[in-house]
Amino acid sequence: LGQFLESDNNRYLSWLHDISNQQYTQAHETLLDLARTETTFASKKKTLLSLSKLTALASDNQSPDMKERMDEIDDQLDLILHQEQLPPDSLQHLGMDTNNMSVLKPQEIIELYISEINAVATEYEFKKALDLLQYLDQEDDDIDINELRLHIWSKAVLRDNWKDNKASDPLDTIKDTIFFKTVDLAYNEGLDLTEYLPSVEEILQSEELGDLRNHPNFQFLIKAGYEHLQSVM
Amino acid sequence: SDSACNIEITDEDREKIEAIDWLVFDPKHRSEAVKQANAVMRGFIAVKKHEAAKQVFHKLPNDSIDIIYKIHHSTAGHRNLKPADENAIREYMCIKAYLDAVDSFNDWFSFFHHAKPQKPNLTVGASFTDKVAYEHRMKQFESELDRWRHNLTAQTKISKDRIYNLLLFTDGGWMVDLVQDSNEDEGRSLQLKRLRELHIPGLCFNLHHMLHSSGLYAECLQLADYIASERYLLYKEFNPENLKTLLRHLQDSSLQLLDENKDPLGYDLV
Repeated sequence: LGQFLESDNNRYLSWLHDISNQQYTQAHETLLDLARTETTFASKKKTLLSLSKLTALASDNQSPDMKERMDEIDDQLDLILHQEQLPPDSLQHLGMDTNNMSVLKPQEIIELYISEINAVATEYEFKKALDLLQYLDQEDDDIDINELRLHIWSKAVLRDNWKDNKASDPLDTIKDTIFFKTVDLAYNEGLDLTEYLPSVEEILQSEELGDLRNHPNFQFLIKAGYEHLQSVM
Repeated sequence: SDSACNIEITDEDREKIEAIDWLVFDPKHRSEAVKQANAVMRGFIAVKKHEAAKQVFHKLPNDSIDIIYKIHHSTAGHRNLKPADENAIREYMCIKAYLDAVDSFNDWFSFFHHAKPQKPNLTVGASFTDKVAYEHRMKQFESELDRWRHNLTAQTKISKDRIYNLLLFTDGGWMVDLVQDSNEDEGRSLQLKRLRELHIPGLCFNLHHMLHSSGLYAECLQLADYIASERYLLYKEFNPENLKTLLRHLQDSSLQLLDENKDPLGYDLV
């Protein structure tokens, strides 16, 4: 029976057998494998991960490998939590709702948080997008983390009109922009800005910003903001 | 699974319950009354004397929390409540959530086990009139069974919500203080911790039993999501034995789903 259950088609059952036989580590590994390959339902992936965590805890196995797998489980559950917290509008745009979602990739969740579909995005959504960078697949050659990071900040810039400068003090103008509100929030929540915030040159060269890049008022405000940051950090 | 646990109220218990009467005469003592009542109820809940705990709860007038706030605002203005008062009020709400959850589970339990209509019998060699009478009773039975199922679904929903209300108690969990109190006595924090260890696994088992008996097997498996979650940390209250029991129960629910031609988590097979 054990061998029959180990065959690929029947692995979705074998963990039930393992629980009966108190083979908790075995059940935990199978459940984690099933979770890794689940892409159809986010809720199903979540329950597979949760069961994998509970069987691991029941196994009393404290090997370094187990510790590593438990970290993977918590990361994956955290990622699903970020997905569940997406605004309903963004999900609807994909034809999904909170009760019926497929498994999204971290870069897809990031995009949904920062794109124009999420019209009410605040600094909290941009901060979440930055948090999600840690879950990107490091081995995937198609993903350029630096590029994605610059993309998030460029989207933040584009949320505001930088062309008018009504206040006499530039710092008064920029403190209300989503870009600098996000910087502020990230800083206060302990994110390492030397790693997460692109340099002022990178921002000013971001192609996504289009003509705004060359607008003197924008350049002036961004530079003033960065100077201010350097003086307080 | 344990149902109504109402161990007898002794004379000593009665003294503790009635002592609260002396503290509620004067509104100025209300904050002390809530703290004393909480302490007495903690003791009762720890030994599952639910009826006794309920009697204490009813000794405190409904407006007690309002009174504590009013008195505080009239003397201290807009400053926050003292940590001990804030924690006592939250604990009182936690106890209420507990008593509601237990009551509502007991309601479900007796409805499920005792209110189910009995199928009529037809004896072998029954006469023609017996058979006609039997068919009549059978029809009655079926409509009663329908009504029972309908009410069971409603009762299951109420009881499920009440238990989840406790398990997912807002802002950090059931019987978890929100503010640090430097004058806190160690006895109290230890008791709160013990109550979590004692009741959280038990309530999860009751919830599973209820969902499983009502045929809601897929929901049984989703219980794992809440227990494993880092947000609620319920799994920390489970010792290894409890965890193994839980997994066995979840496995039972999965086997039922397989019988219904679903996958072990209740999704359609592809």
